Amino acid sequence: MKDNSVKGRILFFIVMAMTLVLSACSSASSPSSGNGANDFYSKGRPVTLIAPAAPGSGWDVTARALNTTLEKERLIDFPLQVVNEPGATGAVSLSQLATQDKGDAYSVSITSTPIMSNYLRGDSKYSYKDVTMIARLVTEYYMVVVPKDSPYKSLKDLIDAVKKNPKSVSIGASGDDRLPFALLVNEEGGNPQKINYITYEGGGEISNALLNGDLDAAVSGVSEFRGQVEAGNFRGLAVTSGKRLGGVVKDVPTASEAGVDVTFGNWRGLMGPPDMPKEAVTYWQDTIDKALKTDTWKDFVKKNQWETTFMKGEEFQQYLNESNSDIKTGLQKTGEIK
Amino acid sequence: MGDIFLKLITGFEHALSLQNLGFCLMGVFIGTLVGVLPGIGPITAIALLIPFSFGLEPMTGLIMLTGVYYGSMYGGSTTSILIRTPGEVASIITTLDGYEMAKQGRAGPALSTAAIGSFIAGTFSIIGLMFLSPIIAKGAYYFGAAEYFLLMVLSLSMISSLTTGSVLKGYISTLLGLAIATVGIDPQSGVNRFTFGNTNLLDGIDFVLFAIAMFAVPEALSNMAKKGNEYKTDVQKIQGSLWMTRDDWRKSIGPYGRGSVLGFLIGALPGIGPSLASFLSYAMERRLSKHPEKFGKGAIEGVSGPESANNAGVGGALVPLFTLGIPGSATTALLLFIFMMYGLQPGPGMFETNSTLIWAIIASMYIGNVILLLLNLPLVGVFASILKLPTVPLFVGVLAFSVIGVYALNFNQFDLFMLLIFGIVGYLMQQSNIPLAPAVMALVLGPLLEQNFRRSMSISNGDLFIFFERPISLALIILIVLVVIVPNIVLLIKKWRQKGVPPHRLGIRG
Repeated sequence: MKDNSVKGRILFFIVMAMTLVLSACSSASSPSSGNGANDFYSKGRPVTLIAPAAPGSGWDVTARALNTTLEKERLIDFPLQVVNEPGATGAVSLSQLATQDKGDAYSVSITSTPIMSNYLRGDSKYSYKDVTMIARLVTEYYMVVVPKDSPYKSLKDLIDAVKKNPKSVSIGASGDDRLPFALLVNEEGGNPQKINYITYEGGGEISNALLNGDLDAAVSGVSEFRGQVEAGNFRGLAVTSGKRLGGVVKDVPTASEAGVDVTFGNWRGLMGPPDMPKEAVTYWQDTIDKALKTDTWKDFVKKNQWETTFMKGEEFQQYLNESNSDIKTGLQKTGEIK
Repeated sequence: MGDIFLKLITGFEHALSLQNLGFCLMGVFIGTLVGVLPGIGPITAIALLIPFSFGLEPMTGLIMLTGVYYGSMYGGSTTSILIRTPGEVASIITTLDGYEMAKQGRAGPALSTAAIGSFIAGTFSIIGLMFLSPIIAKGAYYFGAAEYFLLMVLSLSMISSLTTGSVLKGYISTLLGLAIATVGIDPQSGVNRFTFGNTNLLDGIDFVLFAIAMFAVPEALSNMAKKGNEYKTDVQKIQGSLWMTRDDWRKSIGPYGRGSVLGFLIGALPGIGPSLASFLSYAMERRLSKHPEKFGKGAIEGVSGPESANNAGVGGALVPLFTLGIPGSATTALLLFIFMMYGLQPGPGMFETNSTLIWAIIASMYIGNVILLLLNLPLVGVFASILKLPTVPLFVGVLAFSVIGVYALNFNQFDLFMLLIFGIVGYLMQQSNIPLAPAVMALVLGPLLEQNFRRSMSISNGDLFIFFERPISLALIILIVLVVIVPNIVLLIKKWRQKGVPPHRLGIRG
């Protein structure tokens, strides 16, 4: 009996130890001997790269692509660890970054447009002005798709139908993905507040609903529908980029080509805590600039249908202010805010 | 047909290479571990292994990562049975009879039947994946919002299966779960509900957190609250064999088979996954049983069925991923991402364009399931001996385990306050004999019920006829009538004939 209880206790500790090993697993992944001049980050102390959403989400993909590039191309000589902090499209993670890591240089986070829309809607106490915005990495564009046997042959067909009888056209779009479609409808003189949006958890569920006929059309990031477009199940009506994208969607016209003059992109960037030391900010800007020029990164960009749009400093700040006012206008038009 | 076997044999050739076999073993071992640990699910483990898997060949990496996924379904039941702490959402239902069995000293058979059921169902679902993928995938995508809503109605109306005592208290618990399910941003309108301006509540309340708060915490508290002599005699003993008796086998065979089929079919539905499969399997076993009153009091069928169903669910969940390129859950979405990182595009045509890879993965799943069985059966004795710990250290350990598990969900301290609050709520509910399982299941199913109802209404322009007009929705309505309404009427008529009491005087019990 006594013997067994000791065994049980040992087992318990083994299980506990395994927990620690597992959680340390990713930080143990090969810190490489870097070649970048680096006075700020010591070789030993790990840096956390926060993906403020669940594994597999767009932010997570970006964080892991950046991490892999930095490690594979030996651009950093300290361990970098991706940590997922999901919750309220980044608002939960942002509040921790803005309040608990002040002045720290050992946490950086992926960020994008929801940092603005959350604040504007009142869902977050903090905005991009409350943290250190380091650089813009990429821009992802949106695509409007319909099932292959849909009566809507062009973007105009679809928008006309929405204008005529908004209730009869169900549009699949989640959260902020509603914005680009609202802007398209608005441009053509329709009322964005009347669009019959149906929200799903993710791109997979939206694809399913398009296939089974629940939805008439959907809008999401280009990469979400890439596979179904390639397979010929969906028809891309328009992408929201300024010029055509390559690869599988090279035949999909831009919105402007389709006769609706709207461009709208979702930028993704890197941010740090408030009052992040200047040297650290400069370090990341330089390192990222290098990383985005490598083949490893270019490969990721191609696979995900992103566009590398590196930007930093004053220029980036100005861009952020413009992006913020665009989103504000968009939210006002959809009636989400006044 | 012969073609499939030829491909499978080629698949085995690849999967049996030393390297692939080694990483398959590693994957299922890690899977078992994360299954055992509450809070760390397959999705977290797969995410942690991504940087590591980039250094591997695509085939080896994918064999390892799918191994983590199905391996976690084996481990999930362990803590449910032993300490009433579900390791995964899919094992919540296993706490009902599994923990009761452990309390009666039958932890061994409970763990064994979970492992064997998992093996049988796991293997069955791979066979299903091989032969039925195209058909199942087609069927699954005919499931629209209306069908999902009806499936949820069917599931929730079976909630009475989860209560052993007062029906009224069962409904109180269900309603509590449904109420908690409304907390957070409403996805359809973007309106915040019951968040009190707190950012941490915007995403609602996590059901793994809630399940741990409802099952593990109250159990730990009430065991430690026992005074002096009372708890000394309460040290759990292991009675009889660790192995299943002939009677256990006889009772379990049916649930294995039914759980496998049900789990595979439900698992193939995007957005639903193994948790509903295990829940429906439990409800079905109870309906079919000649002794439904034994459920919740340590019936082995209540472990065999659900544990088979959740493993078969994994094979099912891979069907839409492999054939349509549609991820049905967060975990399969992550697998899709990994496929794409390796430069592969799952979806229509995948079986042709990447034939070798797919068949190697399928072959590795057969091997992985055998490894898991060999790995898990000897562990039964080891795990079961945990229960020989004296009550206080055991349950202090359970509490510590719960805290670590909940913190590991999002690395957010706020979750720990919620664990405390709901733990106390759960304790008070347990003291008042209010069943806890309906609340947890209602929290899992509530959002699916609500969102799909509202999607249906938006799609149909508010026309309720949408629930009748499609063949599958009509079939589900008929099923609801047959399973939920007819038995009540039959029961009432029987009682009325026997006693001559008019039906409206009798309490309706579903």
